[in-house]
Amino acid sequence: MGSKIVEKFVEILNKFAEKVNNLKYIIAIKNTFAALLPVIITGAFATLFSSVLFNVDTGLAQIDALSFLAEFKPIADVISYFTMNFLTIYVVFLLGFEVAKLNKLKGIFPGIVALMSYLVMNPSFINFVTDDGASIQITNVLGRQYTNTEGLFLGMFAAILSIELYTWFGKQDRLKIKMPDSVPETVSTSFSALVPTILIVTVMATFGFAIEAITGMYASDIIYSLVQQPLQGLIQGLPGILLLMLVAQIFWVIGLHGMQMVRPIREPLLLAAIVANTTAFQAGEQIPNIVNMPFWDVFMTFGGSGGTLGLLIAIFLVSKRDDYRQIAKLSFVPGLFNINEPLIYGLPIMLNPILAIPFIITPLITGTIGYFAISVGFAARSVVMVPWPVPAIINAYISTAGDIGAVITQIFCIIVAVLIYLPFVKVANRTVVSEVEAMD
Amino acid sequence: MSEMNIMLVCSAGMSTSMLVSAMKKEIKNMELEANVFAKPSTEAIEYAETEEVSVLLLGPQVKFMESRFKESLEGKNIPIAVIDSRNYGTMNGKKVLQQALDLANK
Repeated sequence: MGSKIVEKFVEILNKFAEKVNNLKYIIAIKNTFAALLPVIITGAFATLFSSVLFNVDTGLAQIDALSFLAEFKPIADVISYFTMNFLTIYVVFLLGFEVAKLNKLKGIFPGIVALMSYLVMNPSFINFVTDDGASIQITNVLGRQYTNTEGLFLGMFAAILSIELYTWFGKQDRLKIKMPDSVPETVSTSFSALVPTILIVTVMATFGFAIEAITGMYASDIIYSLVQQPLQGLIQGLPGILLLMLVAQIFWVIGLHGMQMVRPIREPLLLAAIVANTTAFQAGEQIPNIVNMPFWDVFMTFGGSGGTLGLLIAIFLVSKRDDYRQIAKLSFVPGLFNINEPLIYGLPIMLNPILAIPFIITPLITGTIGYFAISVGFAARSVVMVPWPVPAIINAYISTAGDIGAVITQIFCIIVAVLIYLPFVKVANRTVVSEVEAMD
Repeated sequence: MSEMNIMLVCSAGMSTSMLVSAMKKEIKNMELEANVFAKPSTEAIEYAETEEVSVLLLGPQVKFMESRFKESLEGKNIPIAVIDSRNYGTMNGKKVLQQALDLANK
């Protein structure tokens, strides 16, 4: 693979990865969503618990003797609501905190600044239309669409903007309240946050007010329908998700963490998608999204990126190379938990013109299979988030709240992956001699 | 020399923890005074800023973070390098430990 063009291509991708991953907001967004996972898992747990225990149609509560369990459903409901339907609130706080940290600001107060800045852009009332057509205004409430993932993009924007302003104001000595030297330092620093906070919150509230005054719509609703919804539509369609996967796989092939590359786009959109599904499931409504975070893990990355569970099985079946078998043995247990770095760097798959081909195309094919299996109704849509290291079959079962169709589809995908990898592992058998010579 | 702390960094700290066990075995064999531990990339810089870290090794999959790590930890004087991908893939504790020791003694 010594050709100049390939070398150049790898170099460009490496440079690109370095540039993108050093962008402040990319780092902050990635850290935010990594920190958010416990919130989403808590919501997932409550929802599953509810469906297995408290639900009168699906849970233990359907048994007459245990029907009292249904009385406890409000516990799960409240957890589900304040995790899933409050996601934007947590994102805004964390993102404000992360951006501030990268701007070398100390403490957690910037998280509060970000949150206030976002909240004041939204209305503090809801217009409610009753069954007979009368419109009632309910005041002193924050509508659900401003706390759940519909507000996500405006929230992220508000967090970044407010913290940048906050950082800038903090550097302006003119805006600091001067204290006489006799005042202790802790007292004077507590005043230093005062002016910037007042200014920023006022600016953001005015900004929100102006948008509503001019357009008649709130900023959150505008950003949702103009930016967030179209982006979600793009990534949650089959071509969009396959493209995202293709990009991730190409970076893995040059030895870089592909998921790290697509995470800033993938995480907000696919996590929002699964959270919307969880909310619908808990409410007993139609599940909206086929493509979501567990879809990615269940149908495209079993065994790790590239669906390498298929590669492991293929090696055990037909590889005649000792080095391959040894690496596969080493990789087997981690592979069950979807960790495949030993395969990527040990076989290696990285910069390997033979194995790179099935590594790239396998998730695209299995993802397509998963998508159609769900579309035709054979497999259910995922309803709860499952962490990525959860093994195959278990993740399909849990994420769909126990759908056998999804498990069967995943097993079928794994078999397809084995079949895709098989011929390439056989070809690799033939190259063994020359490579060992080359290594010496 | 005081006790050595070797920090390995990868994306989630998962695959690197396999390497940590291989290196620990090697440290025991060589009867060295050294700690090895893995951190996810999201926590690594903050940790290195506050705790004692003698050598920092990045997994090959996050080598694009090298420049940022070097920049952020400039004042700390911690040697930073990327683990050779082949040694990483084969979980070769011996060679990676050697790399860490070489780096620390430079």
